[in-house]
Amino acid sequence: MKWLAVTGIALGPVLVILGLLCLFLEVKSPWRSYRLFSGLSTSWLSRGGLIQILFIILGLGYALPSFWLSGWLDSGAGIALGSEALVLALAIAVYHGMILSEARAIPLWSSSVLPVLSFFTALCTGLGLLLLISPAYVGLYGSTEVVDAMGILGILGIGFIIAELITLSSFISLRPSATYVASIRSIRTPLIAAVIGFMLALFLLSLGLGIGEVTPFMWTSQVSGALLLAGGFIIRYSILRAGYYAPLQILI
Amino acid sequence: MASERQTSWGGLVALDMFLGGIGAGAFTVASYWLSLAR
Repeated sequence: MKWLAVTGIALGPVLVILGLLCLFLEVKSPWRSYRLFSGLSTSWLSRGGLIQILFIILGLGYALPSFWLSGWLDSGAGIALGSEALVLALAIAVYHGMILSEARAIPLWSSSVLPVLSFFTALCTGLGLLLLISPAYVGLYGSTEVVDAMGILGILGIGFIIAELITLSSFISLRPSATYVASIRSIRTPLIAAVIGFMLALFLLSLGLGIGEVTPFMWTSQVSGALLLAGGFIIRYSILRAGYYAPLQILI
Repeated sequence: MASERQTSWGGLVALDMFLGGIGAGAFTVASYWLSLAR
């Protein structure tokens, strides 16, 4: 299912562009955004901005030519561009945790587990997107190729979900301060919902692998993909909100 | 003013991290997947 992989590669930089647009809306003074790059030696926000822009350029440079040059992805230049973009994609996956860990005054965000959690959340949601859109590509390929390809995605998904659950459990069980514990307590319900979603996705992916036929595979993949995306958003949103509100609740 | 700022912070920044994370994750998984097929 080469075209599903090519779509995933092309969607990567596009989604990062959309994410950056959200940040510009948040900043409310986009014409001052050049200042973002003034603190490369000290700030993860500056480094992250540069990493994301380089990823967009290299990622699109890797993905777009593959739509009209048939051997581009396997060529030397294509592999070189793709490898550099891959390193930057891995850095972006970690960076979202690093940027929060700079906020030393907020105990929940300064956790050393957060960059690892951010990394596995990125992998789970990225895979979730591929699983969600995979049925659109089934008609292009034979059933054996679909089952083989979805089998690889299923095995990757199981590995990522287990890693995410282990990291999330470490994040929750840390007890560095009363504020940290209160922050975790304030997001207990959404985190439980996300964990249930991830466990359900784990079960469905295992079921799809066990059955090994195209139609059930498509159903389990699509539902697992939606659960992984929803769980990933809940985790990111809850952690951001709890960093702000739980310490305020303690003060009040 | 302060509470308005905090409410906005949660939504748009979470969306930036969510979309950026999906993009980075999808790119990583898809390029690894392609490398397996080579």
